[in-house]
Amino acid sequence: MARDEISKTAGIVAFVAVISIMVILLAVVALVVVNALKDSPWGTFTIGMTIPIALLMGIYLRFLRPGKVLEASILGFLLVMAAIFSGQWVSQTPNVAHLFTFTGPTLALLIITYGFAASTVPVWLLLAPRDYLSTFVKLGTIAILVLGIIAVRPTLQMPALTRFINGTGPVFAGTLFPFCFITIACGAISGFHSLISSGTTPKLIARETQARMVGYGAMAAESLVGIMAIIAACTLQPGAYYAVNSGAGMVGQTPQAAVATISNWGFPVTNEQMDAMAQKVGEKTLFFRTGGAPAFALGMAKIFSDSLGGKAMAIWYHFAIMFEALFILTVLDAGTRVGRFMLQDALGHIWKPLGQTSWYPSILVTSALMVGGWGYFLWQGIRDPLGGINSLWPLFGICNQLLAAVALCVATTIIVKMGKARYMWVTLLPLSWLIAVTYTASWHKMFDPNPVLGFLAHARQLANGPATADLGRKLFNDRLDLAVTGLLVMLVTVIVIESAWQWITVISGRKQPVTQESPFVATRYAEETA
Amino acid sequence: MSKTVKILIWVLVAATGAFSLAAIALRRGEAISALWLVAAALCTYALGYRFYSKFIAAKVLTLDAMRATPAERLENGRDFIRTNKWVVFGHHFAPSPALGLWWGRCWLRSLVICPVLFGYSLAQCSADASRILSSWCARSAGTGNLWGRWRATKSARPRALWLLSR
Repeated sequence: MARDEISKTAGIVAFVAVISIMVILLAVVALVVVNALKDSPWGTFTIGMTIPIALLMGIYLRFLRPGKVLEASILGFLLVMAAIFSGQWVSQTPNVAHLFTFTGPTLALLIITYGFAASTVPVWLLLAPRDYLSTFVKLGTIAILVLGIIAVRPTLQMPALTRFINGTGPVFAGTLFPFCFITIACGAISGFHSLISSGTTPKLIARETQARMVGYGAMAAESLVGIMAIIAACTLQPGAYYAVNSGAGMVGQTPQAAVATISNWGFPVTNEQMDAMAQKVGEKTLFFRTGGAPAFALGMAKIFSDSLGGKAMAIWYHFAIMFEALFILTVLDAGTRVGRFMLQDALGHIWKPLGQTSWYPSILVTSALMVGGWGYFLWQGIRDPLGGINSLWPLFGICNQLLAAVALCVATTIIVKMGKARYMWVTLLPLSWLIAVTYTASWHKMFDPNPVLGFLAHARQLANGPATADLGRKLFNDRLDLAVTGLLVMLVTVIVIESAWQWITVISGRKQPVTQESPFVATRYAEETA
Repeated sequence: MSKTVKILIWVLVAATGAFSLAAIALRRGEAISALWLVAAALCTYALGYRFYSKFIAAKVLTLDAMRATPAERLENGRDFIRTNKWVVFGHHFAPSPALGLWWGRCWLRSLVICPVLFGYSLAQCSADASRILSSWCARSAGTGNLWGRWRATKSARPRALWLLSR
């Protein structure tokens, strides 16, 4: 009985942990999209156009010419290219441009609507083709970038080690270990991807053996994107890199002060250089453009335009910025759908019909709940710089990695229960590493005496500092972050212990390893080539 | 292609990768070309895909091309659909949270980290592949009936994991 209770608790614990992490992640991601597209008609137009193009591709593949993936791909590719280039025209034609220039709140509402739609309509209509299209653009761009790098053979300007590995740098606080591994990025281990792997992908795969190419192959490609991003940023002069990426508070309030501070660190940079670069890409200034997108776009534009003889820097720069927002949006649509599946499963325990994945009333209710969850935080975050998702922002990275730890726990358990305990190291080793990383990082975030890093220290510093109007809310945010981090770590700990117990009982032979695998059903498509 | 040629090619890939990694790690105090990073990355992925992922697919997960996948067994035109593998690849690949955030979160890095990152992403690869399988495992009874199956599970402990693994 007691065991029954404990496990029931653990089931709920896991659900709460995963859903709350997802809501935080999705809200953050939505905020990033909104910020990227705010007052940017080019980006808004191109990204908006991917939706009708995806619909067209979905219909094409299902009704017009079923199975003709190559045709649909070429069609989609051409249309996306057209959308990218006409985006430039849109942004330069004032009459059209204002149609695609939205404020933050409008964009937020549009994105919330899109998230809801992507979660409710059949997966073949919007979600799968849009992700596929995005992948095209992404892989195409990365492939061209690889070719560009081979053609230009750029030198990495950033030294192998900077003096900032102890965590005193202007861009990010925190030591190399663990914070280098607390990241949401292509090529980093990501809990979010695990959700996709258990939510939508397995419902689509036509043949088991394709899991190798889809699961492993896609992640290898993902990692390549990460490497390209490193290269793009490292080809910038370090001085320029720091000028672009440092917040105003870290290096001085004015460009002059920033140039002096950064040059003092041994990374020479001048105002003229920065101005010339800004002019080249059609921006007013490149100082204090934190967040990473501008630095990456600069590096990428440089490689592209160098390989074409130094032309068209501005187009490539805007292309790169657009390119990033395009992918962040794919996180939202897939994430909302996966969240919906999870909610349906959970609510199905309360009232059975709600658990039917493809029953429309259930789809609508659960999608609305999911969108409402992240939409609420997004909306608050946009209207109030200290509210909504902004207060949970510092938890972003840790959430993702904690989620990955949960996923690896599940995977290890499955492997053990399949009777393959001798291979459990495949997921157990990454899990151990991940636990070391996330727990250390969480500890730092909560209790580090450095106020830039630790929530508690930051709250203490604020409390001892001068009283300002928003002091109370800042303090609240710090304490909220502290509490949520603590809670998530505890939830994950419960799951890890539960799983470890499971492994021990199975391996020691106290319990028969019973997998929940479905009985073998032979495929009807055996003649198709795998 | 004869076996010897294949072996030679893979030895060459391995050697190039190792040499590139060594170049990244050992050259101190002078700027290096970005090509080393690209070469090291590509060789690592090639080796990882050819050997490690094959090992995972064959030995650990024992993927079976003849077994009907949920997309086939539960096909309903909305959520469960047999889909072209490249489209699934695209779907799986795309939702990678944001290149841009990469910088915001963890710059200050040394290039020496790159090898670590490679290893890391390979871990992700295996995690993903296993996760896909675990999702199938849990889908034994079809979605409509999962709660019933969940309750019927004799042992209580897997329930927690069940909820997650779906």
